[in-house]
Amino acid sequence: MPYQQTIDRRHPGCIIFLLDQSASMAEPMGGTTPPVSKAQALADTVNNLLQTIVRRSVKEQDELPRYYYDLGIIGYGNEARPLFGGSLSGRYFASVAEVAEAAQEIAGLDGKLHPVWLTPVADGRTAMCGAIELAGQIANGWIQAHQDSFPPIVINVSDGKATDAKPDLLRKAADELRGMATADGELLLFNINLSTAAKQSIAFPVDAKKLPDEYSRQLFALSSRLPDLMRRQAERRGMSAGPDVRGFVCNADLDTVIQALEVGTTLQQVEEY
Amino acid sequence: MVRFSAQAYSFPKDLTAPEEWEDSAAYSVRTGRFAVADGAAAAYRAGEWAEQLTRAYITSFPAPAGFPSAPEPVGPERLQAVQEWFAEQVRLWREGAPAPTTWWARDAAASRPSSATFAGLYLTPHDTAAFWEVSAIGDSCLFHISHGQLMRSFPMSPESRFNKHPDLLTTAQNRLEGSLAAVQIRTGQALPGDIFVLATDAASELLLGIHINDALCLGQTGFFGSGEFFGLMKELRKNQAIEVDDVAMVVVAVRP
Repeated sequence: MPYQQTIDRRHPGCIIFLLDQSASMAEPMGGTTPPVSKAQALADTVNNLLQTIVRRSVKEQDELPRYYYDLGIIGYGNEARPLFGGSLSGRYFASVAEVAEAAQEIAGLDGKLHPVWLTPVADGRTAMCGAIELAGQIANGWIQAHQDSFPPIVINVSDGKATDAKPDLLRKAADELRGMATADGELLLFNINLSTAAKQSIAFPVDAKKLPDEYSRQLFALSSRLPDLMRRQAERRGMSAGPDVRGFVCNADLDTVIQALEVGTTLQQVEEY
Repeated sequence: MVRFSAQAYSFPKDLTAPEEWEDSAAYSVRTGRFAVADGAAAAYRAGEWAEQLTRAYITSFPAPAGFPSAPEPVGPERLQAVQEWFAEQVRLWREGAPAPTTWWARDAAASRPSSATFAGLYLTPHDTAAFWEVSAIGDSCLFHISHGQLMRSFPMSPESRFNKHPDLLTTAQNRLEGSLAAVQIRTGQALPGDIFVLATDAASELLLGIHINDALCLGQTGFFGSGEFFGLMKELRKNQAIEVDDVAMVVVAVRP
């Protein structure tokens, strides 16, 4: 059975985020009052998620977070590029301990210090295909070194269509990415399509026919099926997720983005309780 | 007066990473107290909390009021005394917790408080029998075997389902009430020749499975040489007969 490997230091997980930073990300995010730009909402959400992943890896008082994950963050506007800053500037990939150490601590609205890695960017076009190809290069190297691990998870969050490739080329890049595998299963590619207006979110659909347009159907086709582990996570959050659902969210408002990212990044650590 | 002998066993979830060990086993034949605990892997400093609990149990757990003359039924006063003891352990833990020096340790301490399942056995020797009391939270379990038969497993039974979310004794002040409400106590009597096994969840699930499938085999439970236990666990894990998890056990024999 695929997707059974638990996460531990000998079998770390790998999560790669592909984040749209095109000009349209300056528009307001659906489900935010007062309105917050999609770029800001996405940066906040990914910062919170990175904090959660670091938190899962902290075991003892005087230790760095344990090596349970490698993390990659790629942004794309006119081109795809790594988004880590500070001591990780220029790096596509970093261990969870390196990510923890690279955080900037910034006071939030609650007056408390919060770790921050990403700041909002909204500029240029949508080099999504380039980002998927770059993710493929990174994942391929990681897989060579971690054949017994849970396969890499690539989560692509975007509000628009790829401007750097026609649909068939985008599909080819995504197919190649999803075709990579460890001994535990094929790489998982999930897509989250952000909403501007208050449209109905559709999370983890089973059938492309119910999607509103050709573009959503295309992203549906690019997305992996959710493994049982993640389906259970979705159901635990009250999201309907029967067999054969895809890791795709259409017209995602902020709450749905947060939930979908949690579902897609909660692996079976040597923890669970 | 009956006597006791005991042996503790451990087998880590990852043989190459002993620092990942988060279970604990401790016993004192002299005080008649035996305990295992399983630190919740999702929690911060869980292994240390499990160890503090088992060590504290064998040194400071209060004797039941009626012992050693006879075991009393577990009344609300006894339950309250046991709950107060657990609450005191949480207070001591919180008072002694070192101040985190990094943002991630601060974050983990606040959001993933140390938590553990626990089972402790208190044995009091008598002329021809021993009285026992077990206190448990979650799925760490006591097995009482007599004449090769499983007399009782507690708190899990052959009908129970193990899952990833057992009750836990947590050090979070705002969840303490819920933890204390999950404390369960049972008492009973044991005779010379009887065996007790305290085990954390992976071994408990295995033992209950053996009872269901081959009760006779469970009756052969006793002491192992340390190498023998290690070899047995490796074989069970290789055959996927036991969950990949830390295993802590204490075996106690009642002797004439």
